[in-house]
Amino acid sequence: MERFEKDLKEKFLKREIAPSEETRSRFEMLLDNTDKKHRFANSKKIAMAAASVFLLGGLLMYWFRTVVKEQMTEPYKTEQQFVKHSDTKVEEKKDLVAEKSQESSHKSNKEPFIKTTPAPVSEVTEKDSTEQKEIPQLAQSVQEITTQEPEFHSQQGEVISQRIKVSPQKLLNVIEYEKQIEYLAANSKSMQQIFRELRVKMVNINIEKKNSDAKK
Amino acid sequence: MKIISLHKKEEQLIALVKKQDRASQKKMFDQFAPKMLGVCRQYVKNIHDAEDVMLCGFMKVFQNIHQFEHKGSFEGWIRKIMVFESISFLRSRKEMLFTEEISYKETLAEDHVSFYEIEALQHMIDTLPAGCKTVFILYVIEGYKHQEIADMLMISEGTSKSQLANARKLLQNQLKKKEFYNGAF
Repeated sequence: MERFEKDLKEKFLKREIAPSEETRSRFEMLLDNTDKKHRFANSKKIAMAAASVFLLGGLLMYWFRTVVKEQMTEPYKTEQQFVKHSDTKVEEKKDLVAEKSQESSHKSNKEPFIKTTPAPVSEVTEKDSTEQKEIPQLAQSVQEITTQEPEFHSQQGEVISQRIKVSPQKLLNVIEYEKQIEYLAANSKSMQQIFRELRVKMVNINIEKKNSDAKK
Repeated sequence: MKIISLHKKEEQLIALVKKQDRASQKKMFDQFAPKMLGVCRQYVKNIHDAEDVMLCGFMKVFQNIHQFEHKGSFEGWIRKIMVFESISFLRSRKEMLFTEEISYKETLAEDHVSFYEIEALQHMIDTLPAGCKTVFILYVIEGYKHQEIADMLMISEGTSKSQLANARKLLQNQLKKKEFYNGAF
């Protein structure tokens, strides 16, 4: 049996059977089919890749159109930008406040009765002579103003009468203007009076001081 | 030197087949088909079925050639695929039965063929039941161990051993009848 098995093994391992022509043609057909399948699979892969690329492109375009454009139009969307913008706004506000304070300080400096220190008595006495000369001039100017006022009012009245012919709205406006002018004129009068009284008071005080000094 | 050049040629051929080169596939088929058909014929009785099995085996070779790691011989790798393909064919036909009954068909036409001829030996083996025959070929010709055969055929090691013993008994009876290997027993 061993001998038989050995013979069998040797013969079977060396054994070769030539395949028929039919099997060869079938093999070629099978190869064709597998090639087609392979090609189809490749084309499928390519199509899938192209579709995925197209989709990605579309998504990118959509993202650019929606998100990026929004960011461009609304620059404070991101937190950092918003913080930066708020910082700049705060700085601007600070600048504005500083400017306003400067303006107010300038204004306050311009006001003579609040900020300016009272002049010494010697200076006041030096100025007295000139003031005494100015007083009659002031009185004259006041008188001139008072004389010119009715003429001015009459002229205004003419203008008003002319304007009345134009339109009622304008008339109302003119009345308002007139009121304002009157108010201003009254105020100016009072200011002038106050100024004159103050001047007079100052002069009187100075004179009294001088007299007292002379008595001493 | 000749062996080295042949080995290089084989490696080149494998590389081209891996790239699905059709001419190389045909070349490989021409080179290995006769031997592989012989392998398939050992297991499958009908030559046409054996051809079908061989074709399926070659398709599997081309599909899985990237799995070949150049560790053993390429012919051995293809041979293994053919053996597995033949076994799966027999299983699909439900011919592979591992019975304990010893029975064989006396279809051997002793008048037409000489015992020295390989086809006569094949005929003798074909008379065995499919289970016995498969175990016998795997053990005697392919050189697998009982454990390996049991794993391949999904049977126990004992079944493999008993199937081999049965196959040997049947063949001994046949050979006694032919009075050819008289001196050997």
